[in-house]
Amino acid sequence: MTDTDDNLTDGIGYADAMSELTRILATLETADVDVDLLADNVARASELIELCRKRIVAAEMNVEKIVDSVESES
Amino acid sequence: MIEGTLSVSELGTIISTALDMAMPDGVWVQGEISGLKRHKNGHVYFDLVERSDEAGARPVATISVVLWRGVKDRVNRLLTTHGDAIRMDNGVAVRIHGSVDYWSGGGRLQFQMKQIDPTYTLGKMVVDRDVLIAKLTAEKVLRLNSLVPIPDVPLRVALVTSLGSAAHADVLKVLAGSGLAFEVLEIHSAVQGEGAHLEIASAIATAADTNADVILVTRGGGSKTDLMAFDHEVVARAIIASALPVITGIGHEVDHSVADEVAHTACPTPTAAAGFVVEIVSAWLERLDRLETAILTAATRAGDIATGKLNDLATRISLTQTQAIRAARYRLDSIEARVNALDPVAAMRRGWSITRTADGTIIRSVDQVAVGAGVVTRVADGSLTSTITIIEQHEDRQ
Repeated sequence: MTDTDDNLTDGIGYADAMSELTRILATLETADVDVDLLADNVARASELIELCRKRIVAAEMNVEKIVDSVESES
Repeated sequence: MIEGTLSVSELGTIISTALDMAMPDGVWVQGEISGLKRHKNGHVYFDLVERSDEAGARPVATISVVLWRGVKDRVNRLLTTHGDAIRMDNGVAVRIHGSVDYWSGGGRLQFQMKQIDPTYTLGKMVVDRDVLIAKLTAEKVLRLNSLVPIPDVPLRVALVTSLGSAAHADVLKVLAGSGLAFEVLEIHSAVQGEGAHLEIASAIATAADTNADVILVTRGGGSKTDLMAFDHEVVARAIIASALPVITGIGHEVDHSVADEVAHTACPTPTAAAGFVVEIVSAWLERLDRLETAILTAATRAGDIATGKLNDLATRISLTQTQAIRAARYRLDSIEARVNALDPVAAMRRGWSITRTADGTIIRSVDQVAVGAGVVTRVADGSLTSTITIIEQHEDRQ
């Protein structure tokens, strides 16, 4: 099972999302962040965080039966 | 040699007598319980079988066993002296004592059980478990499943358990109560009794073929014999072969099966196994929260720095402009001073005048006029009209 099967809505995996957010943070923490890129980075970070939360947090659990009951044991 | 022809009952008597003479004090026999039935009259019936080494093959020998109700209580007391660790059930290996009787009325040979040796069952379980673990260790596969990584956010859970059991309910309760978007793929399996080990192994293989992130194998508490399916080699090998990480939650906290040994992670109970998966997802969400906070803090700080830089720049621009304006003013003042210096009116104020002929031509030389000519002299505050009376020429200045 790789993160390519673990996709968020836009095809990015959870691990990739975390990596990108970490990179954005590193960029924002540099002394000379380009002001034009500042807004773009924050917007992208917000988008990723919203995407992750939407996928992970839910009011209901989904249950599917793959194998139901079989013949009862003796 | 028996002479003559016997009736059926006479033959039956000979058989019974021969058995009594061969085993006057009864006999201990070991085998595996199969086809156990607890009759409503209190008697217990089962077959004691001897299995071959070949998995799934027919037993090499079988004998019918009866545990009469009157003897059952004594046997149960023996079993409880070992803390209810043993429960007579299909698949359990036992050593029992009794007599072999032939009932001529039905023409049936039957072993009448009178005692049980609990230490045999427990000891055999321990020995079998140790042998299997040593075998898997020698093959270097004992901890293979622990090398399969658990995804960062394992939301798809394949659940192998007896559907409808307390363990099933416990797991669903924990996952549903987490507020996380779990998808549970339920795969039913018997978790005790004859053949349970084969069902469990098959269910694990089925689970490993799904798109799940992890497999949970769970069953609630019970006696050691209730849990023995999880000590079986086929179950261990199914876990070892799984491409997905297997999380076990089998029995009570003190129980530890071979399945627990080979699984990626062994949790003490079904509830703990579900909680383990919830914790992984929750921890990832917390990491996301911390990252979000750090990003906002860094962005705010970066914004403040950028604003500060802009303010600095604005200040520098302002200073530069002021200096430029001052320099420009200075130059302007200089030019004005020079212009003023060249202004004829200013010269006139200092005593200089301009004289013109009658036709307005500026007189620069005495040669331009004659005695008697009229001239107009401009001074600072007006003009004078006069007539030339005397002309005197001076030497030229160089």
